[in-house]
Amino acid sequence: MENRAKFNLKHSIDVWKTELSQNSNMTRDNINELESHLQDEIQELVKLGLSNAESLLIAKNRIGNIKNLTTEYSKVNNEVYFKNTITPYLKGILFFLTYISIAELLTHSSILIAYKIGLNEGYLNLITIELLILLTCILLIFFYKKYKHGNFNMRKLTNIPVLVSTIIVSKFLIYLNLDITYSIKFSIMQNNLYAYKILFGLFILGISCIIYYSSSRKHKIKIVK
Amino acid sequence: MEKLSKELIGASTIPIILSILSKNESYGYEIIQNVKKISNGKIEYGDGTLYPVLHKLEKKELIASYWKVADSGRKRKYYKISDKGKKELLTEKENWTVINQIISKLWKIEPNLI
Repeated sequence: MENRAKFNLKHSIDVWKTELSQNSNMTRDNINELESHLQDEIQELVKLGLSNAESLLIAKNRIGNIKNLTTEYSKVNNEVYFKNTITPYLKGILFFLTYISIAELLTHSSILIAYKIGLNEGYLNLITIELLILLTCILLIFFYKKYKHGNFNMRKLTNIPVLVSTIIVSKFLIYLNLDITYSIKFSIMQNNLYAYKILFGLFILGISCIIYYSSSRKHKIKIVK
Repeated sequence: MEKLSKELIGASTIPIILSILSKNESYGYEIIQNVKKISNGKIEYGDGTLYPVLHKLEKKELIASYWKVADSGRKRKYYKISDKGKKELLTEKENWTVINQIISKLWKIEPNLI
């Protein structure tokens, strides 16, 4: 017998809608329409004597799984399909640009602070390098924790408006103090930043190669002659 | 009960949907149930497959959609045929009539083809 106290039909339907929204090429209007269909189907099944949980299960099966729905809707939602395909790449690029902008802002800020408090170039050089290493460590620890807990939901972190705003604000702050930071003879710090950008780029390339190599090895099927 | 072939169902989908909507505005679930009833279960659209077809017809401006609160209090997306859709339905009727005449003639001449 169904445990009515535990089963919440509305919540279950909301979960299903969220899954559709996140993993298919359907628009909000498409999903709301399918929800209406699901509810009609459930209503009919309940009339036949099935419980809410059973009705939902059957109705969901009749509508089809996400993969099939995506295939069907791709015939009419080309635009959504294109956007869904390109968005992860766009987010990756934006995330990289944001990170580099933050590193740049940190370097420029440290130059400014050094200028204000009168630190010498050699001493500041160490602080800048330490700041960049710290930033890298924070990023690596963050990703390691995500990896360890098997939670790679990056939706909040890769929110496009947040990333774009961060880039704009960082670039604006850098631009505001550009005259000062470039007029001061702290060129070694600028060099540190350039070197860091190159190293970080190489790091990304290395990681990409490792991931590509390991995944292609795992998916390779030996052809027996 | 033996169902019709996938190809035949696919080819007849547009005239069937337009015919249903020419009689009355309707929503996805109701269209599926109507087709199932009229065809005595020989045509049964998949729940997830009808909507992309409806949206395709809407893009072609053969039908129009709007949300309406039903008597049950739930919101439903209704579809109605447009003037362009009515013209398309007339063309479809002519085409299917021609096919019907050809097939009838052929089978009268060579009944063994059945």
